[in-house]
Amino acid sequence: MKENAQQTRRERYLTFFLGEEQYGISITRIKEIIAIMKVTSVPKTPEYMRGVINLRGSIIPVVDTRLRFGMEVKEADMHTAIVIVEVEKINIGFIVDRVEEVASIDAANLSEPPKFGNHIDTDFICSMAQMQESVVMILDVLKLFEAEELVSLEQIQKSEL
Amino acid sequence: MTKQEQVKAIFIEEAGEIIEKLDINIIRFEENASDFDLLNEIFRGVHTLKGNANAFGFTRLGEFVHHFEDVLDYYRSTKEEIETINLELIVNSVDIIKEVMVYELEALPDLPQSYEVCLDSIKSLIATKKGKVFETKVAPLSESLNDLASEFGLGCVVQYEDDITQCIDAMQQEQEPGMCLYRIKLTLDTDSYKRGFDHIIFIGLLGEKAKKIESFFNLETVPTLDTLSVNENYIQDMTIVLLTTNSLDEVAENFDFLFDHEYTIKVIEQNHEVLQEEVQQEINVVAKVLSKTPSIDTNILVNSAKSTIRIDTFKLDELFDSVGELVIAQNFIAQNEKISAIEDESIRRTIETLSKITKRIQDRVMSLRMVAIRDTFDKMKRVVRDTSKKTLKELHLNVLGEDTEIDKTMIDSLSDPLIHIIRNAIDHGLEADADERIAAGKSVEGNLTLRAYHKSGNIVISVSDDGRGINKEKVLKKAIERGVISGDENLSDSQIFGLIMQPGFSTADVVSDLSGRGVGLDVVKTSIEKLRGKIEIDSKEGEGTTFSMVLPLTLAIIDGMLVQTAGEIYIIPTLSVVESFRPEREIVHALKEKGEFVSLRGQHLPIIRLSDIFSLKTKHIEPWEGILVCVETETGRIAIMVDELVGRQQVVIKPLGKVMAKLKEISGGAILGSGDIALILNVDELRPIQEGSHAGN
Repeated sequence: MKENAQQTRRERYLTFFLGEEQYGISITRIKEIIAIMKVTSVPKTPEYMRGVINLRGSIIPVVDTRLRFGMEVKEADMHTAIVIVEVEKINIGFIVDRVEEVASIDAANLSEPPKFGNHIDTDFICSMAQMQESVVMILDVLKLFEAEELVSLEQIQKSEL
Repeated sequence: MTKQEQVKAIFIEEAGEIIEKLDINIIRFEENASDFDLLNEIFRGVHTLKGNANAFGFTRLGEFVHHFEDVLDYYRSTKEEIETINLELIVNSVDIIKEVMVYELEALPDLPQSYEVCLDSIKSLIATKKGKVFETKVAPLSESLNDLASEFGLGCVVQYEDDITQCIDAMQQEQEPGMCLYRIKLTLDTDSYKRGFDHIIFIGLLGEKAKKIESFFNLETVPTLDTLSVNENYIQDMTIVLLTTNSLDEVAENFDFLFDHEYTIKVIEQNHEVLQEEVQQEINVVAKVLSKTPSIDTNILVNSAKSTIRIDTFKLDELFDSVGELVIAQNFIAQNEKISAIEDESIRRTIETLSKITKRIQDRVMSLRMVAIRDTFDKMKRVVRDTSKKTLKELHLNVLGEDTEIDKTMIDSLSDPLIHIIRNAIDHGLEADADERIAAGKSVEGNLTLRAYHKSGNIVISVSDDGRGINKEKVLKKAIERGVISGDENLSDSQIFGLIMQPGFSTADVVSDLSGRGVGLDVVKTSIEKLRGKIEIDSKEGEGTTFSMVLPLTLAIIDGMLVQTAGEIYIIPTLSVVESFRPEREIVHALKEKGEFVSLRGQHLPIIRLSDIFSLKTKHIEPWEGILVCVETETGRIAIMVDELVGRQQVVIKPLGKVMAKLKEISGGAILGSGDIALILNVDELRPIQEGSHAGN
């Protein structure tokens, strides 16, 4: 497997759980992890946009990752956390069920995500990683958010100019 | 950014400031061409600019400025009256400098045609002037050269110190009341030439009002010819003894080109006289102390004279955010029930002190963003001058309240609207010519007043003219013609005047006899609204018109009315709130397909339910069970229905970020004392769900 240097590179990922599934986000994008706090809902936004939080004086939008993935709503408990991620120079919070660990994953253990057909949105999964017994889905945060909102936003902003 | 780029960025910023200042000064100078102090100031600016331009390889700018400097220097030193044509040339030159600067920044290969033309006229001006006065000028020049030559012969340090002491003694003999004797020591860095410093010009500047000036150069550091580089300053140690009537501040002004560590100014006290007479022992001691302390004192003075630093506004914003957090945390402590339950005098007092300090820090940080509006007003003088020339209307400009402070970020966006309003006032507000003014019983010269003042927590900037005023009938007629209004409305005066700023109203073919106003005024309105301000127009036909821009004190803070609906708190900017009330059942009407209305003093206002437009889940209540907040919007008044009023408070506006930017109904968020977030409503975007006409009934 370790034929060239490219494949032996290791990267670090923050892994977390949503229900039974384990996901990972590249650590370079993560600003911090905070406990769940009061989220002020913002009207006229998609349901998965839970609202905004006051992070030490700045207002940061928060996404309910469960809803974003089409999963059911789950009441917040002591494990619920908000992962603050920097996307395109703006901070966005992602609510997750439970933060697991920071794992180093060998590039060699990454593989292409499987295709489930057109009706399932797997765009924001950029690769799958094999870790001991489990499989971690590595998320492309950019796509997770950019998918429709950021893009349409850009267009709005451009057309306004 | 590399170091070089950083330095360059600083240069560009500085050059921009210098040019801006030049622009203002040159207009002031044009008004009063015999003000040589002002000319000196202009000269100094140009001189710095030259140094900077050459240091950064902006040779074309450098060359132009160089010749321009010659012209200024000529008039400055001869104090000759400047001919009108040459004055015009000087004013134009500043324009060229502005243009060339842009070309240099963009690194464009070709220069504007006017560059060559103007440069040539400057050169020829210099040539003729120099030719004429060559005789008179040569004498002092050679004299000063002789002085230098004799001083250049001295190389020995001991000799150097001795000479200075001797010179000070000699000068003290000549010192008259009102004069000060200064000993100035320069320890220059080798790159000082690149910063626009020049020994000769510098001494010239210092010597302008001096009774006597002597300079001593330490030439030990000068290398031999083969290692000498013309760009480096080798005469690093230099002492100047100056006897002048100028105050320390005035002397210190000349040191702007130098770094703080490069110079010290000492005031030499007249200790001899103090000691001479039958002075008591005590005073003797004081005198000694005094003669020792000046170096410290003057250092402080010099520092305070130039104690400004540049700060990235981003850093200020960060500081501002942190202070915001501090205030919230402090509020939390002050309002916390558990803490207030503690009956301990010292804790109570500490909390009080904390709150005072926090308030003070907040005020000071706020004030960091504030700058006097003077510079903007000064810029407007030029606009007034140009417009007045173009329209051939004589006018007098009054400026009031130049010291009024306003948020720095706001000032930048204020120029354009102001220019627009001023041009409008001169072009259309004032009578077409002197005859018309005389016929109306006014002075030939039109009056334009620029004023800035505080009014109930806002800043008002107004432009008033004493021209024709707005003809209401014509405005109404035009508005109906253009379909801006239907004609059935019962409009107040200010609403009628407001019409001229409606987009539909302002077209290029607005007839000129219609007091003319309206060309592009909607643009002004939009940009003022972007600053969360509004425009009020007041006019009396035949007497004049006043445009007032009412602006919040700062962009970062608004005065907000906190309202609650469906369990969430929202903020309505107080600036747009007209009144709030609980309606009687009888005045609420529901119209099919048009929604609900409330009749208020003959007006029918559409009722807007926040819970409806935001699709909030709440139980339906009737308008007479809630509160209606009547607000003024672009499209007329509306009544926003909320569950209850919470209070009124100043809030710091925070953007919701890109992600929420498409939410037009919400302009931002604010963090309340509790740490919770409340959303700020953009009332202009609140429309009834059912789009219907609500201008009429």
